[in-house]
Amino acid sequence: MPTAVAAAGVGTAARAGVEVRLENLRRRYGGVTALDGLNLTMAPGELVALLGPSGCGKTTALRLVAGLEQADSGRVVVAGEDVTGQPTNKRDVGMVFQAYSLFPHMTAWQNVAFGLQMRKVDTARRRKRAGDMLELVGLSGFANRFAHQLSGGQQQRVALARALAIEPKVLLLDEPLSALDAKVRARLRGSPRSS
Amino acid sequence: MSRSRRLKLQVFRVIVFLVFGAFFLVPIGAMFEFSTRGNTDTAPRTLSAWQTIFQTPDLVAAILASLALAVITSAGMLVLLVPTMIWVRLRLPRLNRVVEFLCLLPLTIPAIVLVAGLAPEYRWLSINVSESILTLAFVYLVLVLPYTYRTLHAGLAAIDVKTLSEAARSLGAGWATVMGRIIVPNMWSALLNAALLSVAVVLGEFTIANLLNYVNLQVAIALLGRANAGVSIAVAVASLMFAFILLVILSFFGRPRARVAQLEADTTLSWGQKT
Amino acid sequence: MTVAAKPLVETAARPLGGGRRFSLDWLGAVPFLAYVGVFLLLPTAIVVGGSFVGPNGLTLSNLTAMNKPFIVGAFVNSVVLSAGSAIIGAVLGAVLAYAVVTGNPDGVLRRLVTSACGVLAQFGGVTLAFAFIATIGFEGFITIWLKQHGINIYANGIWLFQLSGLLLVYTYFQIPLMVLVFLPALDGIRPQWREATESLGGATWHYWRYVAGPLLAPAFFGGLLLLFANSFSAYATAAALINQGSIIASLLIANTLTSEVGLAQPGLASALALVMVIVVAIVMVLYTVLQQRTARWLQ
Repeated sequence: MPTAVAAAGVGTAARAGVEVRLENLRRRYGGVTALDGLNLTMAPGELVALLGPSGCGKTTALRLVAGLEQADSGRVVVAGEDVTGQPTNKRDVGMVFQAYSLFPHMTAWQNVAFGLQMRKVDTARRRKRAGDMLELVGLSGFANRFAHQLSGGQQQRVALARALAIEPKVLLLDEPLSALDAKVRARLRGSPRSS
Repeated sequence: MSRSRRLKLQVFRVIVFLVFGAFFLVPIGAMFEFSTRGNTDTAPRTLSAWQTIFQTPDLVAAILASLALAVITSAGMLVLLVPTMIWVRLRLPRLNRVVEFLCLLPLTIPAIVLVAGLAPEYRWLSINVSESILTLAFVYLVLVLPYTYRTLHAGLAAIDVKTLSEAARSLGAGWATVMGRIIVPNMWSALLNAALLSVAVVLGEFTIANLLNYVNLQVAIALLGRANAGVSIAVAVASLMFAFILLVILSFFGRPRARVAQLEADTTLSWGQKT
Repeated sequence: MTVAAKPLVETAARPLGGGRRFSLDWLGAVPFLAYVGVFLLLPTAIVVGGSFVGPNGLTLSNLTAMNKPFIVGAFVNSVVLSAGSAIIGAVLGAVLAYAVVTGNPDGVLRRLVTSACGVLAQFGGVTLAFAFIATIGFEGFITIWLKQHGINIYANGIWLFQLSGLLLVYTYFQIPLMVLVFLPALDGIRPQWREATESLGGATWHYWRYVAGPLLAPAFFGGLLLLFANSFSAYATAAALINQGSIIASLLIANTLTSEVGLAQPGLASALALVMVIVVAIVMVLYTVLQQRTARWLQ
């Protein structure tokens, strides 16, 4: 099974999808070239998977779209707007990390509601939306659990719910199933698409 | 991380290290400076204070006493603690928490409190057994328990004591052989670390010796400080350097690199944490 | 086959379970328990018991004798000194630990700082007192240098040998101690949490306010308590710096033990020691509770 990264310019229920364009992205780490002029256009609503052996630059591409890293050269254009210099928190990009990204001092629903809190959504609506999202990933009964009380697969589903809760323009999944065993992986693989 | 944030972070780190470095290094440098002063303001630098160390019989006696105490304490600690910890792990697991609690207890009982209770015991010891300063080793062994327990605990945790001993027993080894030839050889670095920590603690001990009226290294330095500040500060620097060398050896010897800080915290503090 | 295998398993299991040989196994722990009993538990018991014994048998007079102004004053000074040096040490130690943790985890700098902190956290007592006397004592080189430039740091009194002097000197071992206890907590903070915060729309301020702050709070306050206990029970540094008087509790205990007051009332020193050990024990229990919470969140 080759490692795979899925990047999706998703259309969520509330919004039409947007176009994501990567133009000639370059990124070097010391002597290692991770990306050497990547060009990629994702149509609105399109689901794109980046495949390749480890170290080929999949994660770097995603992190550039998210703004977690800066490209040496090239542009990232989302919905026609150049976001290359924008910080991550202004980009409206949802991201699910490989593992361990849940805040350990918050319960599952507090994690899911965190992005809405950043957007100043009031408490009642946060709670409602977080509940809906947890239901979507099949974890309604686990709202008050902390990360250390959840299995690896459950944690990743909460992380997915958290990324979906903010209805981002772009949803990025960086090997979200890599830390899980094959059985759980097979069960979870369908879920991104169904949203 | 954005470039401007990284730059800000680098500036912050450089300033922090410079300021803290100065705060911690200046007093040590000042001791060197002080110990090499001449007799008058205009006299040239001199090492006479350092040379005087070995011409001061009281001081030499105190240095030798402290070194002897360090050796006795380290050896006694190993003899008492290592077999107990292995035995408890193998045969008395329900006693594990008790041993841990007792080993960490000296951190909660300040030396100044301990000495109040030790005074009658040492009065009895000096009348019925010996007046020698080396009897301090009895209580120093207790003082080093918290520091050495954590180190030995980490050493034992790194090997599968139970499986190793079961394998050896199934091949016909007795308990003494299991400990001496199977387990101990697998935890040399932990034993060495524990011994070096004990040496460092004993060489720095002042409270108990002072209040029980024994003159060890630190008490001698304090007494001398009133008569000849230059010499006493020279000895203080020397003992500090010695402790530093010991602990640097310790931190470079047989430790997984990424966990150095954790182990430092464990071995030098271990304040009542549970695993 | 199954019939033969069953008793084999049982006989093999019995010696390992140890149920029958319980009493013999206990002998192995006797030397350690006896030793600790004589040199740790017995002295503690002597202190506790001695607090309630007077010339005429059991009494509470040792405890009631502690309401004298100089005794209350010494304990108040100890609390002020410990709280002050703990707050300063915890804040500055946390800053230094953060500077360390943002560097290369395998780098020389980090190794140097952690090793140095291991030494300096233990660096109390006579040597430390002398280091500060050599630096900012009457003949200290900073004092002399400043005097040559027209600044007299002792214009308002000889503060180095008073409570404010102790506050400065204690900082020297409190900061490294904080670095040692706080570094593991900082190491437990994962970069994903910051990235997740940002991807969910949080700015740097939000990250510190809602994620890193609450996560590190137990470790920070735990460190603060540890530093308090460390300072409260410290004796050697103060004894080397301050030749006479009993301005803090540990000096008072020592002076009561060795002075004529102590000879007249031997139970008083025990009672003072009992108060100290109770304070330290309460603080250490709270520290352990916070430490466990840190361990659960930050491994």
